[in-house]
Amino acid sequence: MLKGYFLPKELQDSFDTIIREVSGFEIEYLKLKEGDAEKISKFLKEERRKALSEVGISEKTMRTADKLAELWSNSNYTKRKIALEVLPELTGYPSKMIEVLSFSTLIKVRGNYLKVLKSPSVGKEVFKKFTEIPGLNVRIKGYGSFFEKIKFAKSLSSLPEVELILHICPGNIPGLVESYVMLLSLLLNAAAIIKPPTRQPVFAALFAESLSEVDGDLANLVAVVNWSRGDVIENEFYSHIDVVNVVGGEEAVRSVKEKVEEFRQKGRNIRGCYHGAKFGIEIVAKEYALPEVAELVAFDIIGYEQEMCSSPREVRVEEGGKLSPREFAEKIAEAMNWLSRIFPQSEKYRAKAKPMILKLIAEGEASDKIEVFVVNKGQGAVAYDEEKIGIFEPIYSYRVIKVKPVKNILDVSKIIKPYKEFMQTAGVAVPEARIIELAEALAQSGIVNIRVAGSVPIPEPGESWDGKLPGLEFLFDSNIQWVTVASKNLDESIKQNIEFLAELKKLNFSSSN
Amino acid sequence: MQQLTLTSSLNYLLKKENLWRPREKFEPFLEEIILRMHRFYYERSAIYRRVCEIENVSERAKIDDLFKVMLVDKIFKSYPTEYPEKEPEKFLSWLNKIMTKPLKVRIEPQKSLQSFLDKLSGYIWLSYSSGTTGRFSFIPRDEKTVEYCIKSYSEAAVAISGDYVRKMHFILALPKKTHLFISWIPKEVAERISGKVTILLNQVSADIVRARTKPPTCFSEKMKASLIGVLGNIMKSQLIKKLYREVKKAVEKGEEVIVFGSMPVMYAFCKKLLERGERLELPGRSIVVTGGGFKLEKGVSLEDFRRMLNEALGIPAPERHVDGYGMCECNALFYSCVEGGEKHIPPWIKPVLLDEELNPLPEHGRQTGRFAFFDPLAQSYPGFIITGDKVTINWNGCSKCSREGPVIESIERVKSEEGRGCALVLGKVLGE
Repeated sequence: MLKGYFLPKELQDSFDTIIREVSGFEIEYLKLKEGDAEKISKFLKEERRKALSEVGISEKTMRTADKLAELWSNSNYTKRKIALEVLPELTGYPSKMIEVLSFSTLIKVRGNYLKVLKSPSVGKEVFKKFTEIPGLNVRIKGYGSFFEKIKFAKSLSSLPEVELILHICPGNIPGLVESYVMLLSLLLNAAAIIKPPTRQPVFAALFAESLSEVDGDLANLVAVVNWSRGDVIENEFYSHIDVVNVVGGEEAVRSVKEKVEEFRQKGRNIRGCYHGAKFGIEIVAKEYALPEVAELVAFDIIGYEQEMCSSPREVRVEEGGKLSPREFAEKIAEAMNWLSRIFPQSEKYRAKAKPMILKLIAEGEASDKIEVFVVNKGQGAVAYDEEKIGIFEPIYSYRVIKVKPVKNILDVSKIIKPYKEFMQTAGVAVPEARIIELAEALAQSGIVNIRVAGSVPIPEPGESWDGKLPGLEFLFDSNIQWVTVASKNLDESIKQNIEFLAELKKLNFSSSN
Repeated sequence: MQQLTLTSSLNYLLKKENLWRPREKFEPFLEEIILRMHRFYYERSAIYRRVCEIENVSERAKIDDLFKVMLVDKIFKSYPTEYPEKEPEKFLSWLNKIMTKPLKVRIEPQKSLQSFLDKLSGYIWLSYSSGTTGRFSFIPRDEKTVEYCIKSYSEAAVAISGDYVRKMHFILALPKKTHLFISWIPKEVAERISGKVTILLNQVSADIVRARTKPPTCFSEKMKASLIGVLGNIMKSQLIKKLYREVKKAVEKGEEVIVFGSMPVMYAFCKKLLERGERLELPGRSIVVTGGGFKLEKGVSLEDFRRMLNEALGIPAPERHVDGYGMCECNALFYSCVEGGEKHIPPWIKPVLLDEELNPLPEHGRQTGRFAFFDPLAQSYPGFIITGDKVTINWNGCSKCSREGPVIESIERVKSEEGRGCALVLGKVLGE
């Protein structure tokens, strides 16, 4: 039987549990009643107070992060094995996808990175130009008014204390958010309540148990608890937390916003951090309109079935390269064919993709300017569209995408501007010499993360999170928009990603032989 | 033995008596017709054939394979232009890829959508249904399909209520001239059944419907939408006044009538009567028929509505309130029976419930899934369609009447999954 909750040792026998079947697995959940949320919250706060007076939580977290990364890198680690067995069934993502994307990202969260987050060395130049973050593979720039910059510097000089943070986690990227926010809270000397996604309640509990193996004291500051929206205990938790951080769809975010507002009106000083629905786009400069780069783009499309906020919704290819935009689209579809053998699309996602593919086929049949390339067994489709060049169509998902030509990559900024409020990530295959000009333009249209093509589904430590600095947003409000480029040298990173994919391709051939 | 022609086979199926014949008897016959229609679509519809190729379903496929090539209802709104009237060539090129018989017609750009539809109606009957996005689904019906559609609706209507309706006076709270499917088909059916029909509105143009349903994108569209909103309210109050006049006349004459209107119109009508402390008890076996889904004021339940019908018009439910479930893409309506209120699926349509992975669910007991259907009456477009509705079907049939075949017990829209895909939820915001 699997656990869908985690509690500090002392609390473990204090609550009733219930067993439910989810996708063929028996999962044990807490059955909380009135008063239980208060009990858990008070315990976590008390443990935090004790831990602060005895040992530094923050420092221990940095050391623990390294050990956790080692554990989860080990393919023989039992919890990793369990996760790889269970998560594909619960999420519908293939096991290899979870291994290559989720696990490789979560083991990047190490002590050196957390140290940078805790004490960012932000000089004035970061507001003037993209500046490298020492020790990380990221460049960053802050956009905001003079007043906002002063306010930010002031907040940074006297960080407030936060006792308890509630994190509401999404179901689309298994493992990443749960593990990341758990460590972020501890890094800020705060205890954490994690509400895992309904569809996949297992990973947060597994990771918390790992934490308990590595450092029992830190595990005393964490609880993984599930409840349904509107339950009595929901209000109880809101009566004790200082911050709520929600990552999810529009409805989840709206509901949390309403709850925060309700409690603020009652005089509770809760802060809300909201990470709602976003769009991504992939941009390919003419210098990189190459077959091997089309493979990188295909990898980004397949990642998490395009359900990540950063996933590309459309691909823009600059005209004048070795491959024409149409040829590039065809190469993406070809790459998706072999990638689909490594990352087969589950029936569940194929069914979701089908209506979109049919829609593309209908469009393609009706227009000479739209050509549709359907991937193996209907596991996605790529449409080359020369008709709707001037508009961004972020409506496709589940390995279904449109590729459109663009005269100059800088034009993309104008095209996506109507969606500024919802934009987040640009996956780019652009020469180093052109990236800063492009990043400045995209920042004006809401893009806050610029990732290298071929690593869009693998966030880089040090990146901004929806324009906020991870962790610090839990402590104070700021309207500075942080934009990051997840590479110090684009040409080098693209080369590395091509090599990474070449290795992956070997896996395909070895498995098919 | 010579094989029946498709036309005679369909005519044999399309009879009200067949609602009382055991489904098992019809199933092989219906499936044979569906297979013939598959071959027909395969040969003639470019889009259908392309889907078959992708799914590896050949022209000689078996019935069990056909669920793989069902088209989603969104296909009918996948035309490549926002304004078909401005770019008729583009629109017609799309239409021809869906249709089983290409239209050889050239239409010049038109000032309004309505005039475009009017021009086209000389060649094909293009009816539409509106969603909340203002992007219509357009269904092309040739003469044969129009005839089958009207016959299917009429036969089922008589089967569900009784032959006596043929003598009744139909009062339709609808426009006389429209391409809006939900308004067009009741008028045709009423004329087919009884011929004694009073239609309360003259015309509702497609442009007005579009302006009412399409979210405005600029200031001028906003202004237009609010102006049309005001006009719409005036039109609604006029419609209710006319309905009052006609119903009152019937009550005074003691004439049995069938009153048809959308639920919101009938609700507003009953509300008005009750507010005025008035009751117009409809004579004898009069019936109120509603359609178009249950979309009432917030907090008003179906039970509330039925209570009002009874209080204002003396119409008890389900005995004299018939509600229909249907869609623009389908040539059959699933009427609620007067005995038990269950929605009956006529034997000329093969319903299918699909699971999350779009595989068919078993056809026994009570099942809930995404509603899909094989509609062999569709001659001018592929009639194998997956809808966006989540439906519960009781395959054991109706427990309250002697009609055979499965019944629909509940209907809701398929919900998009909250919290899973960040962008998908946005897709919903964008109305896709």
